[in-house]
Amino acid sequence: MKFNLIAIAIPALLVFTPVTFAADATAVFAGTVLNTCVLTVGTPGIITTNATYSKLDSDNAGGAESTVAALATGAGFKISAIAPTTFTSGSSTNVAFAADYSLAGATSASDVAGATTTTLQAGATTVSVGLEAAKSSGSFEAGAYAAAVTVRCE
Amino acid sequence: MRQLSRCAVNKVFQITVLTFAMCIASHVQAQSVTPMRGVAKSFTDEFAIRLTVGNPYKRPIQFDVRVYDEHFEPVDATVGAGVVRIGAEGTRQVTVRVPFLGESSRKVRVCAEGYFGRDNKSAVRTQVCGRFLGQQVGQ
Repeated sequence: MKFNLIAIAIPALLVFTPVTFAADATAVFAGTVLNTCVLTVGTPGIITTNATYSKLDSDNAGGAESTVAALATGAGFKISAIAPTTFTSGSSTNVAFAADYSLAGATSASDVAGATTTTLQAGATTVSVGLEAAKSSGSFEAGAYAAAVTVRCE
Repeated sequence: MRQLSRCAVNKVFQITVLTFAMCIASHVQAQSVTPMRGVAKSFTDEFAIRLTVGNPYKRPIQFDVRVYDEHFEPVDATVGAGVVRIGAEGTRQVTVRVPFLGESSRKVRVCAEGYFGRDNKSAVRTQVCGRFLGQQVGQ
């Protein structure tokens, strides 16, 4: 009787063992992320006048820097902020423009002159861009002024 | 026993098919990514670059595609679509043809440019540039 039970149990184990083995399979996933840079504008900046109306600056009271999110999927990309040469609206006579930027996140830097390039580390970096428009003589007349800083990633 | 073996074979087949399908899917996704560096070889007097411009925003955006030389001076190139409007989080392929102008090789930047701003405020123009080298073969 004991022999009969063993004779039944051994083939039964052999039959069910492959079922357990087949459940442990590996599903392979494959993908590629290429090297790229993505710029996303957060908030446009605001430039306001100083007390003597000779400067429009994002650092003045009521002004605000513009923010741009830079995402680099790899190392080696460079970022810069190119100042405009004229206003897109408003008189640009006797006006000199200067841009600067600060970086926070994957890459850190503070008050970098706009034309200077900074190498981005892989990851997300927030770029804060400032703009100053200064009259070499005289003062700004009443009216609307707008200028565009170019944030470049290459 | 024979039935169980058949079941195991079926499972292996299913996993193989699933893996293959996933590989195809990820390959298609990888093609939509913009290249930022590249070398283009050409037998003719111009070379072509094909790049994908992506819109990361959740709304349609209009981009300009412009070609510059090493010093960011504009290059007289033929851009398939100089102004492209791309839907939210979408992509679009653009082909650029650049003449060698008698040189055996030429370095260019192809930039996707967007403008974001409001009146009476300072605005931001974004410029994402890929750097490419064109080489004339047989020169």
